[in-house]
Amino acid sequence: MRKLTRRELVKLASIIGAGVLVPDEVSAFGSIIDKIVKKASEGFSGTIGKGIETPPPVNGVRFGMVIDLGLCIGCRRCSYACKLENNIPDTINPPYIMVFETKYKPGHVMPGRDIGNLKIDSGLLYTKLRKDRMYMPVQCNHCDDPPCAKVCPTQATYKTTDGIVMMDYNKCIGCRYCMAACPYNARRFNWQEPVLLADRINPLVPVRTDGVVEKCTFCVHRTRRRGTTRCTEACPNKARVFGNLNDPDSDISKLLVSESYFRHKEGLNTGPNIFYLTRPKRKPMRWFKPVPINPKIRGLKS
Amino acid sequence: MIDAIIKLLKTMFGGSTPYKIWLAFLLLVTAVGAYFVYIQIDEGLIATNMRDQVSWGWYIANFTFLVGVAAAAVVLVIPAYIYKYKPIKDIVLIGEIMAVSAVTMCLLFVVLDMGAPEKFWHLIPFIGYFNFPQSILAWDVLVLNVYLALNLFLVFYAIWKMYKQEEYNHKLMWPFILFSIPAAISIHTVTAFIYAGLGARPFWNAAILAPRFIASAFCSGPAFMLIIFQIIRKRTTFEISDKALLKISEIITFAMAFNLFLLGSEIFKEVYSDSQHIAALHYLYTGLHGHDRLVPWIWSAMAFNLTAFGILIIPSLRKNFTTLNIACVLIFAGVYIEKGIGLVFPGFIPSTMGDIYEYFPNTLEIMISLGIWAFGLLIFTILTKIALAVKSGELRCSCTETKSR
Repeated sequence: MRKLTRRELVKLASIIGAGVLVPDEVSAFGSIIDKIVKKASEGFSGTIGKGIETPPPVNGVRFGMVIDLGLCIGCRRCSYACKLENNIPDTINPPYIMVFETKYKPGHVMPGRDIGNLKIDSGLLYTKLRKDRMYMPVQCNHCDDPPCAKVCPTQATYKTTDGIVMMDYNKCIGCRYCMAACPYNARRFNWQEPVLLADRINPLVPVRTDGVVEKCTFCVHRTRRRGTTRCTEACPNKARVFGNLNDPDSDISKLLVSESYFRHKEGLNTGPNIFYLTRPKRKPMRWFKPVPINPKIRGLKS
Repeated sequence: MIDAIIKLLKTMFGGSTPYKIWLAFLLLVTAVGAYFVYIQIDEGLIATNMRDQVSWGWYIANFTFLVGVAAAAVVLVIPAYIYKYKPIKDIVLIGEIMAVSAVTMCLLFVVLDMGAPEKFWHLIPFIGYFNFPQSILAWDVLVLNVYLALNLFLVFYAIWKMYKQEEYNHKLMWPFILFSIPAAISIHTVTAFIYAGLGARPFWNAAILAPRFIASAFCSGPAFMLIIFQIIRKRTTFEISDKALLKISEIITFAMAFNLFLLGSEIFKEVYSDSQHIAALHYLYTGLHGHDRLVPWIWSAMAFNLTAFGILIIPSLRKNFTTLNIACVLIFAGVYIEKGIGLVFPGFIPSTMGDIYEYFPNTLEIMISLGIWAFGLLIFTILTKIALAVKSGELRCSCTETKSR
């Protein structure tokens, strides 16, 4: 048998090598092309939340929320309920509502400005509650002049007439300028494909995709249908009051007349619509035990 | 026609062995970068180290730095066209080529930073939902593309005319050249305004940001050019006079003095008033609550800039090419760290709610950015090669009769 020359050997080796390597690489490359094409066509036709009807803004209403810091016990049930209500996947952490623990009395120091001393814990199932601490839930403030909507280059974030700062996920290009602009860290980005179990999906809320920003909507699917937000419902100590700021007879308007309150980072002039009541901590807590962990919800992690 | 194209390709990819090795190296790095881009598309942006607390990272840092490099072309355009300074007029074309490649790199960095780049068409005025003039990012998209188009036109028009052996039509060129000056300033100003306009981020929310951007851009861009010009001078027959290089080094000196002055003003204001807003500056320069990842970086940048300034301010050292080159490399590195790591990251650390997430780019981000840099340098190398070949007469239109204007 003839010996192979060096040139032929190289040729042979490269053919074998190509035969071994290429199909895999090519198919991987093909799958990426498929992914890009799929995403592009989805982006073009706007598939996020297709078939889900968002109710139109309610006339003459301005939604707002009061959070009584004297009643908040830091249980994070609001955060947890919100997560389920709004189809927030495990890949997004913290969820829309963060609950901060602070050693200050409410009204003593403007919380959130005191960067050096605030103890931050935004974990979802933080259950070691301390009686001597104050807790402060922070979420989207649905500002009157929202910096996130101002900076958005594609008008994906916008302010509606009833005061809710909404997002059109189909217009979001994922530039994350809104995340840099929000003073309350209220925006979340889908850094990866969100994972949600099919039987856990709330059909009234759109499921977002990889690469878009999302945020609290004041449960637009409930509140515009005369409901209240899920976090208000979930609070065991009734620390949250949600309502119409334009109606002088609503619970929220009455509270704002009778009680003293502050708004978060008011100096930035964004006009937040979440009002924190600075009432002292009140004793009769209806509930002081850690949240029992629902195994079903644990099952969210696939 | 086909002959001309073959000739063009030969000019682009042919040449001396070091040139071919350089091209091969750039192609290789670009390919490696492309592989990591593939990983990023496959996994999503989770493959980077960016998270909700630090939502912009290394890509935007590189983008910011490169906008400065692109804007610095104006350092050549002003003396060349406004003051008609002959030594610089000979080399202004290379500055414009640098602007083209730098803006291309900027756009690549932004596209790779986007979560859904496939929806970019929303950014096209009249077709999408362009939020103009509200969003500064919309402004930036506009000015960057206008600047890219301007420089592409100027570069290709100049090359084309030289290729045809015709005189420039000055009446046609002049408005574009004049417009490219405010456009260069505008790209960097608008990029600074992207940061400076955010009330939520006290570290960026400063009036001094735009002037500092311009000052540092006029250091790093020309420093890069000085080194490139010397390489071109050594490797080709193209003549670049010492006068032009020394003029550029003077400009760098002034810009660096101004940059350091502005830095001092910024630090004084923060440290003396000592408000809560100093947290980010503390994180950058001294570390915050034991988190000090950026501290060695920013102090080395400071040392680089100060050393370079020391070299530049002494005329005998500035006029000596060995020390001048050391200063240029130091300035380039110093401003790269300062504008990249030192500006973007601390804006997010601590986050608006006080979280400290110590962001630092991971391998994927570094490899992708290296890939983009290699790609940008590839564009720069090839365009410069064509321009020089045309200028020296190697590459000329074979049409014998030259049209009279």
